[in-house]
Amino acid sequence: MLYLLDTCAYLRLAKDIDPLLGSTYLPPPESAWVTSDVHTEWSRAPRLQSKFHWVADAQYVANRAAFTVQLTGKMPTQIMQMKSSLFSFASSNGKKLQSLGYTIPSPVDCMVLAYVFTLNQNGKVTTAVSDDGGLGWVAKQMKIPYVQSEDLVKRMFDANTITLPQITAMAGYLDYINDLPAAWKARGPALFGIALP
Amino acid sequence: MSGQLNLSKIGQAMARLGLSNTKLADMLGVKPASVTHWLQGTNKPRPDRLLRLAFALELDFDELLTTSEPIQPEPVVAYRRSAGKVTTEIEVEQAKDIGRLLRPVANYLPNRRVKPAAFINPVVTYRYLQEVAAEVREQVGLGAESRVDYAHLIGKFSELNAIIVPVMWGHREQHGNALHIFLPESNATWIFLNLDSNATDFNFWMAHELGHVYTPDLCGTDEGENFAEGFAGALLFPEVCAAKLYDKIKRKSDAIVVNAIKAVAKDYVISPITVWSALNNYADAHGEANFGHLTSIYGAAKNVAKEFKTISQSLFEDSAEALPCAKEFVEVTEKAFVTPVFRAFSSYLKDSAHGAGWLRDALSIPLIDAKELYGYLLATGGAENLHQGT
Repeated sequence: MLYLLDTCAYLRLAKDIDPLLGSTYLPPPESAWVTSDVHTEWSRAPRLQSKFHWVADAQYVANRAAFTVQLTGKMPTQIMQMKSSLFSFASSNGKKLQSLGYTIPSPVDCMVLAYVFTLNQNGKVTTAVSDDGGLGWVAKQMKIPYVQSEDLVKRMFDANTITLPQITAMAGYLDYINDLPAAWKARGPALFGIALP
Repeated sequence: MSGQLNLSKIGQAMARLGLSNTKLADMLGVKPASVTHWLQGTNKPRPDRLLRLAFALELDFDELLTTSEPIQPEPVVAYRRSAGKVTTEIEVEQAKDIGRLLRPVANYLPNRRVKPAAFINPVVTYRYLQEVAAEVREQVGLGAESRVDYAHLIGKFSELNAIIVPVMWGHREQHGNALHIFLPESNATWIFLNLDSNATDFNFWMAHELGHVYTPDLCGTDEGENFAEGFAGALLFPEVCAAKLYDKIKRKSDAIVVNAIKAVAKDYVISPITVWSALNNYADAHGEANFGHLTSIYGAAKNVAKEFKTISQSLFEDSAEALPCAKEFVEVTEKAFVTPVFRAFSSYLKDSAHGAGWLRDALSIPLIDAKELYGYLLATGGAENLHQGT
């Protein structure tokens, strides 16, 4: 069982949960992975590089190198087709998404769902990890496995690989850099039994 | 999703893949009767099954569904293709994706009812290129030998319905510094210009893109690329300049030739390669000996480029931060390039449910920058110092 994180979810969690990717913190046989888009996004954004300078540190580079999904055979084409289809679906439901307080996921946003759908169709049981509400709505309509970053942390918490003080510290830091998803605050008591900052 | 299943496309895909109704139903995990109902048009699959159907038939939704809306022509991308280069094909596809995202924004652009001017019967010959370049120089009020600055050309872009999209993409290889997307249905040309290019490259790319805008019928072809390349050279370093320099340095040693080219290139704020090409084109057109391959010209080009700031460094030299904030970026570039792009984006984003991700994909910029720009565009209508008529 794979968890595939989008760039924002990776940047939120990987600094403090190190090594995030792989199965160090997850109960076997679960493991966390990313796509090559994480590196692409980070490497072309000077401001991202200054905000998340740790991404270039050797241990994170090595961790991503070992757990970046590699595509084989028809998969790249399949992913592009699914990305396009998911974006078409999202765009045609713009009003619905708006009424729910979400924005339409962009083609690149849809990429993580396209990966997850394609991997599942190719026999690799995979769940998307993202904090994009619009993307979550699309995933639900399409029955694509999807969780938010706090759900992944909850898996680790249940596996006793991460403690409440660690979670609180992480939430505090994310809050400090204005990157704490609202769902962490809203669901903190239900998931972890405490109010997060 | 609106639209009905495209039964003929589905039939073709099933035949190509050797799929029966039963086999397809098996792949999708539904009853064969469901597939039969879909293919008879009596029922339509739910979104999740539609996605599985698309996957099984190796189609995307645009192919799988018919729509009552007219089919939009494909965006046309001006890009020099290298035979067999996969990366270039991917880049062209990515650029077409950007074009598709920009389609609805055309409705938010200033009045576009007048068809822009275009060169008549453009051909890639020395004489034709020199003539049209001279005409454009005259129109923008430049003397036959005057230096062309990108600011001279800005007015031409808006006159020709071309929308300049200033972006900061960091250092890129030559062909990554400008992107030209023509949308036939709206007759809109979108020109992305990388402000992180140095002044010599930037002047060249502005002139090159102007060549594309003047030749919409050649857009997306190699001939169009050759025309734009030749037009840029003729505009930036015209025949009269080439003739003078040629007479001065013909039959001199390579070192003297390259040094002379460098000096002139610096005066004209263009690359020594542009000057060298202009000299060779001039020589060929007049039956004279050209300078052939000058091995040190590329090093000279690099050195000259280093002597000039990038456009972003010049535009934002008073900026407090290393990189401008969204407000500063919009205000400064909107004024410098007289572009309606940010107002159009602002109006479109306010009317649609698209978020920062749309801006990230449409401008090919990082999400962190797209979020800040999105916030700014939603809060304002673009910069305060907007231009009349935009």
